Amino acid sequence: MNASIKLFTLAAILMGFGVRVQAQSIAFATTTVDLITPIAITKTAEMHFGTVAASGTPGTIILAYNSTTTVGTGGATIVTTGSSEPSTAKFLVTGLTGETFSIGLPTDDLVLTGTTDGMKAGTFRASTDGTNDVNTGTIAEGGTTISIKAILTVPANAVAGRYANANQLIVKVNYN
Amino acid sequence: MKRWILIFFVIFTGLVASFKPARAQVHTNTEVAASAMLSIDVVVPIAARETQALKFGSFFPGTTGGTITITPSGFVNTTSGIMITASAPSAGIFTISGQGDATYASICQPDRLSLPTMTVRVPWK
Repeated sequence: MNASIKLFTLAAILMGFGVRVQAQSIAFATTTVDLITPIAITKTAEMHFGTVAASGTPGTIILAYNSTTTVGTGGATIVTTGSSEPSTAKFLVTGLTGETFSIGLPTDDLVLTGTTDGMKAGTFRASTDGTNDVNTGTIAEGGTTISIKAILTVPANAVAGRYANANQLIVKVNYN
Repeated sequence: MKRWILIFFVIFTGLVASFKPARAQVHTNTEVAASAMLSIDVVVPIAARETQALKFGSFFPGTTGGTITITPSGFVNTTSGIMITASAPSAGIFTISGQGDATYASICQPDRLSLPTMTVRVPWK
């Protein structure tokens, strides 16, 4: 009887100190590591609102996913003849095929500066199919392209010239 | 002997019970970002301003009537019995302004304008 109690106690002690025993057993255990391909994003196209002529009243220019512009409100006029072509910003997201990821866009307006007062661009939206607004995506074989659209406000009597913001259109992605 | 077997069994059972395979997962949970440039080109808006009015001057229509033609450079031609008097006719002149070196696609002008008793045609359209 005493022997059984001692054996039971010994077994209980061994199980109670399982952590220490595990530490000793690591050398003999099967160790596995799951390596996940890091997510990455690269810019493939800049955002350009094309060419507009300002007027005495402020206006807005809407840049769509298909790289076309339309006048939203006000007096800005889109110039197409002999002008620069509008372009939607595009980014390529790569990583583990089939994994989903989140998309982070600027929430505040960004200022484009030129020869005089700046212009503000905002209402940034993202799409992975060129049609629907999304804030998540799935990595496809070869990567997934994110298109970014926005609205630009053109102030009244804007002075001619190029207005730009070099690098503040930042798109962030991460695995979900 | 049985006791030692039992002791070995108990120890082995304790080791097995506490054993867990080591498994690590390296999950890259780092947010990554890229940036793009935003830009727009603003040009001077196009505008048209009259700098000289179109004038047919004063003339005598004669008994049969006719036409008075004013060329873009201001020369006057008449037909039939129309006689221009001393007044000076002039071609209409407009100044187009806008972005330097830019081209404009078209010039729109009316085909005909009606004055109270006569019609003005635009022959160079």
